[in-house]
Amino acid sequence: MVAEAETIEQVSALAETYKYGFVTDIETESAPKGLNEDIIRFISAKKQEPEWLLEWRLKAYRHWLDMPTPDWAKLNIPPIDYQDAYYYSAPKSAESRPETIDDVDPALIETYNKLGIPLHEQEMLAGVQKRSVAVDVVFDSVSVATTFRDKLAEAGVIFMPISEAVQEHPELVRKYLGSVVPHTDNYFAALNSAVFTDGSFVFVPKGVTCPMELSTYFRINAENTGQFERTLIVVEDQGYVSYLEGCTAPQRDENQLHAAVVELVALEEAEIKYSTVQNWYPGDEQGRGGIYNFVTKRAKCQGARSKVSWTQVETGSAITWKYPSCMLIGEESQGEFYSVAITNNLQQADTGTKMVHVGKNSRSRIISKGISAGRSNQTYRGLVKSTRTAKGARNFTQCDSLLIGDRCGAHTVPYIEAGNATSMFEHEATTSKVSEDQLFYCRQRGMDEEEALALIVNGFVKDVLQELPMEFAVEAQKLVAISLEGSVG
Amino acid sequence: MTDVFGADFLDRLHGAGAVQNAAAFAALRERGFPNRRVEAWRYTDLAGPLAKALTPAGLRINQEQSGLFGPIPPADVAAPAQDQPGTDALSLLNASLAGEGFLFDVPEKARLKPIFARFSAMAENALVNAANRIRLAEGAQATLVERWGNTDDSWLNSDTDIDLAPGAHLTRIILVEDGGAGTQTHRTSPRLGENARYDCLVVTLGGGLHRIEQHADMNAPGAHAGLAALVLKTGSEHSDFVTGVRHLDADNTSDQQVRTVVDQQATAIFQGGIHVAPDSQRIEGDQLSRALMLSDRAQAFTKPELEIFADDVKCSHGATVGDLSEEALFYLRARGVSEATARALLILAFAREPFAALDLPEAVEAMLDEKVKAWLGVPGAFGELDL
Repeated sequence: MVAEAETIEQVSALAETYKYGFVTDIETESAPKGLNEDIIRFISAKKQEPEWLLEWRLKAYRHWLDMPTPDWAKLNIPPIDYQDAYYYSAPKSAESRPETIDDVDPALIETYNKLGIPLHEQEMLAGVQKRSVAVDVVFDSVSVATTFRDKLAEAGVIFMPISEAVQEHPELVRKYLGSVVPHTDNYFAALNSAVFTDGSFVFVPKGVTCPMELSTYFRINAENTGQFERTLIVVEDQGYVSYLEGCTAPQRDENQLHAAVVELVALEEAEIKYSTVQNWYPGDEQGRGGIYNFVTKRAKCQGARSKVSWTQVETGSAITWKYPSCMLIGEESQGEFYSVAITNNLQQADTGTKMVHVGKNSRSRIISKGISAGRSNQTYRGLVKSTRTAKGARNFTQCDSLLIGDRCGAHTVPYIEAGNATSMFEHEATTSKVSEDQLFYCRQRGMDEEEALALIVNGFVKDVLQELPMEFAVEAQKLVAISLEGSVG
Repeated sequence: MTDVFGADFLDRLHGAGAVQNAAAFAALRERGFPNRRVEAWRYTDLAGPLAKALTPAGLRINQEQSGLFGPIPPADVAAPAQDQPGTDALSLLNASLAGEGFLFDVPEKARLKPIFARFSAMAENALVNAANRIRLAEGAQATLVERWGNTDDSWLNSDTDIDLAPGAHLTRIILVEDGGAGTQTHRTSPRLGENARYDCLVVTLGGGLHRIEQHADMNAPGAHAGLAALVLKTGSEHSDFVTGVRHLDADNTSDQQVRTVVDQQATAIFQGGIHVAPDSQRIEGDQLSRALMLSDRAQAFTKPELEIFADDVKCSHGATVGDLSEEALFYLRARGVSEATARALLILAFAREPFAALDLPEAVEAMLDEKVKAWLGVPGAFGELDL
């Protein structure tokens, strides 16, 4: 018993240490607190944006003012004071954008080293067999560094902060921005459209397979800042790109808002693989602090035989509100959604996907694994829909929930809407707890309860993790174990 | 005051002097009927029935003679909790106007033969509200077969309050059938005591708009609720079948089986719910919904929901939507069965699946079989196969 008590103590001590909870002391430049048309003009001016983009932002803002806050999710969201936040915060040294990686503020480099993000191209190139990953880093409101741009440019791939893309490729940005998620789409998307500060822009031209994984790391650092990034990925005919996204934030007592929009466009036979490991600060055991993660992610599979695959590992955030979706417009287009969501302590998550079948013989697949522990609550919410035109549409959905502890909740809210007779939709869902037999089996072989649980849960989520690119899969596996610390005993 | 949904409809009722319970009516008048922005009504629009000119009328009950079953005395009508914001608008409508319904009161340990009853409107194009009550005392067992039917535009709206004492077992078969484009909205909410059992099969056919809600409160250990439904819809018919099982205590079970066949431009909806309250451990709750779509203009919507606040539970739901299996059709065709017969045979087998969930009296099963065959429109049943 004594040993057990010690273990519990150790574990809870561990659980308190969110690995990414440090703050980097960097001079920042912020816009005044609050949200109004002047702030939006300020952001737009800072980014030296063309008139049309400012107009678009203002239109979104005016629309947002008239929208009610959505309350349909099974989430308890305390009222958010949108005037009590900074909508623009930039590291001062980023005023003059770094030309090479060596110009980046050393404190920032330090931060990213702590995060384990390989910014230095040399390091990556030195490992002979190692696959290279191009990284775009967004710190608070601005993108601070993008690596491997030259190498990507050779292949014809554009990978740059969206604020730069607005300057250098205005015709592309203007054509696709808001084409998947219009500024009127929903409350948080409208807010994002008004105040988005940076994010990544990827363009893969016809017939090009992007030669490396692209990756963005988002970090909220400054106090009281909201982060509103906007990612736009366009892949032309027969192109391919794999994109990874990671996020962390320092530990703070107050809640911070993160409302991102991600738009993907896949043209004929194009393929986009989008992976996320979301590890925003989840708040402490009493539910103090943590990020509000209200994200709109949507892909338009516009071309015939195009394919988009969303993979997400969601372990962080105090509140998650996120539904990466696919509009399957092209004939035989394909959408996939693989998700692992873990909530512990007082975290809340309402997440899932939408698969809207419009094209003939379009197919989709949804695998969702939810794990609730502590006093957390989690909901899978998904829509599978076929219109009359989507002859032969096919969907398979599996959503399983695992409950750890008797104070948590796991909920499933699927919507299945068939609009023609040739649609074939299958949905299955189960909810159960970790079996005593499995735990006993592991314990008998000398594992402690935490290890046993981590092993069983990793088995439960295996189907999803194996969809992640290698580097992320390893990180995600560790995350799964860390997120559940303190949930047994 | 006129901006609530259905205000004109309510004004007409008020004008006709039909209101019997002023408090319930005032509550309804203030809230109005749910429109499609209300989540539970996202697939069903009441605008059609609310636009019809209907006259309030009484409920006609045809039944075999039984001392235990009969019209409800006014004192026994259950008063809905009209001050609660969650109270359904249609229950409020019912409370505002109902003075009728049936009472089925079964004493301790009684074992009854099945009771058959038919319900219809007393007048043409009527609005009928019925508040029914079923009480089974400890250890009682009973089977009730209800047939609710319209032949015109009438609207039958009912609430059935059920109390099952420990060890009681009620089997209920509800056939909701319309000859015309009538409306039927029925809600049932049984409360189950220890080791009580509620088995219910709903079959809905025809009609303009049918919305049948089957709820169950599992209040004690050992209780079981089995909710089954067969929905057959064609033409421009609309059916919304809703379930909500609340496991409010530990150690009990529920099972839901829904089969839907939609043809032509019909719409069929299944909204299922299993709710497990905190501390309701060792619960098993299953749900399976399958929809067969026979036409490209038909629509089938399914929303099977789980809401679980306890960890030692096994809950599952499955849902499929699709056409008949090509393989099964090919198998039958290869054995010389005509296309039409093969299809009918497969649909019949599919439609019979929910029957298996209950221990149906033979006569009832035969009657339901006839209904399904007639719906399939295969003259002389299955000709060469003579089933």
